[in-house]
Amino acid sequence: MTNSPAEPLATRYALFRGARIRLGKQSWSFAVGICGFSIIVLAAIFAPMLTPYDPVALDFSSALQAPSWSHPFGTDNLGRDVLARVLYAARVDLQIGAIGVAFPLMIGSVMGLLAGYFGGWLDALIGRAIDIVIAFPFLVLVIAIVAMLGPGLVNLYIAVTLVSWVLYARILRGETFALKRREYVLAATSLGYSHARIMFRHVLPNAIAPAIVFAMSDYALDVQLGATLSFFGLGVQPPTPEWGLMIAEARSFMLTEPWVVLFPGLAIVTLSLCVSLIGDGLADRARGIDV
Amino acid sequence: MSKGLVVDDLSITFNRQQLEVVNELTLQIGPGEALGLVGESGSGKSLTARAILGLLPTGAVASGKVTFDDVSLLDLPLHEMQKLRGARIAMIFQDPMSSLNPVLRVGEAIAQVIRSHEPVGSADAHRRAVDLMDRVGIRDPKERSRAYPHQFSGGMRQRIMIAMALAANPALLLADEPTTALDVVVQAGILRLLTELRHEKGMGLLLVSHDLAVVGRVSDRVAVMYAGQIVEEGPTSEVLLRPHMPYTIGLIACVRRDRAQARLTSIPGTPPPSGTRSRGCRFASRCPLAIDACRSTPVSLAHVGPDHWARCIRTAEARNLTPVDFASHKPELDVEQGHG
Repeated sequence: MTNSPAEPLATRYALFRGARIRLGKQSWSFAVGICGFSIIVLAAIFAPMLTPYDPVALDFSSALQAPSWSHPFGTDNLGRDVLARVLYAARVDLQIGAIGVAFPLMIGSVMGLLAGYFGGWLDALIGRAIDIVIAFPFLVLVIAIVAMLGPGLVNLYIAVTLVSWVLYARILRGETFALKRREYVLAATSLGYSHARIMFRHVLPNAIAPAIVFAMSDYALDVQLGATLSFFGLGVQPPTPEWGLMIAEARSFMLTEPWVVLFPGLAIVTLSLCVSLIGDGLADRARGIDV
Repeated sequence: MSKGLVVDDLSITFNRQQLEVVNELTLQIGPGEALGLVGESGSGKSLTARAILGLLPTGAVASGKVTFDDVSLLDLPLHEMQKLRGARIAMIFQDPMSSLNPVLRVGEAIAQVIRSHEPVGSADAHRRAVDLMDRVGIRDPKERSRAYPHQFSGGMRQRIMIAMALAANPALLLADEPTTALDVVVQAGILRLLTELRHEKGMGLLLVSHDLAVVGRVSDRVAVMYAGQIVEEGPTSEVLLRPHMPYTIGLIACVRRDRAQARLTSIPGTPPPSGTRSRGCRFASRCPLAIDACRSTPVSLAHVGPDHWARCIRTAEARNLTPVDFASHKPELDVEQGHG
């Protein structure tokens, strides 16, 4: 964060102008990420058109078949088509990532904004809350909370929100601290604007960029977390298709019929990679044109 | 009923360090009047302006009395103050590069000011914003109102700042070094604009600057600050042409370059930092005329001419000071400030 007024206040906000195309390595990774992510989203939406099979329909006569023209990804031990399950599972996993990012981003941003803007006891309170949550290993804390609330998708969202809001709060708090000293915030105060207006219309839009960059890597993390918890039986419940759950269900056939775990595993890796590439691209832009 | 701004006996301290940065400052600005507050960096002039609107940095506390149209400002509740800020008293800041929100289109920034103080619709507010941009000399205001601050030059941004400050028709404008960051041509334009607006709307103006030339061009009255005190105050022409306080004389000598004197003069030494100010005259350590009496007893503002005051006990001798006296004078260094 440089505060040199001599530099043009130009735009870290070019970040949001996705349409601007710049050639170079950065935009390549960004473009690849966006394309890959879009393909996954489209595949999830149009899953019924891409496969004739029902992801939960059992067919014991065709259990554990190797990939073939009729079952491109093979079938699992209950005879369900793996491609269909991978495609339908994308709906669940994309949702886990989106909700797992959206709530912490909203709650954490507001908390960080409040702490950074008002300082004092409020900052001490929120700051200590952040410290306490960060002191625990992330995964252990999430698992502990889900174990307490009981398995299930909703409880998974609650646990993720309770734990990962602090990451956003910490980012926003730091940014707000820095921005609070900027003259345009002082100028906004001198114009008689209320605290809420200054916080949400003058500070937040200028402070949110790093949090959004972080949200991208957090998205990948949440998808993996959802898969991990479902693997342990704490997240999505069978028979709903979910990549982590698919791996868990099929892990005893892993050595003899590897396709049952290979394809859901690849799906997790691909989605994580695409989202990370988007995050990298955004981060490069944010860094290159930082205020 | 006293109209306008009255600052009476204002002191500003940084609480934690018990540092008094502004002492017993008194000034007055009536409607349509312009007062220039001059002084070097750290003399407390910006803090004074910020104290009026309750915008002191954390840790700084103002005491004394500041009233605006008989409303006391220092103990005003926040929501009352917010109604006043922008609407009755507005402020322009020094750095046009950083005082506009980079994510707000400038037209929207101006319209926001109007809407936050008056119940007008967004279309009306926007139209008035465009009018204001036109008024402060921005060409193609309609089109430019959709631009972001980074698409403007420094001078243009300062004009936007002025438009924002004027958006709610304030009765008093506090301009904190409004032209310092700008080149001279742009500076002249901004100063002319401020003067026009002042005459047109009967708006009071407090112009804070370190630049005597700027103040001389715009203001009716000048107050010179040194180390947290006003050391000389009077009508602009009086103060600039017949200065009585050696510091003012030195300041003027710094700006003026006579034919006889090819080099720029400076006043040797630095102002005492706020922790180490002596009881007596604070300029004594740099003053060519200082005698023991200057250092031992506090000096108060004395009447030296029509409506003209100076904080000096040797004004009679001061009249004959020349720049050469300053150049040849060796400032005394106290032990406390020797390491600076």
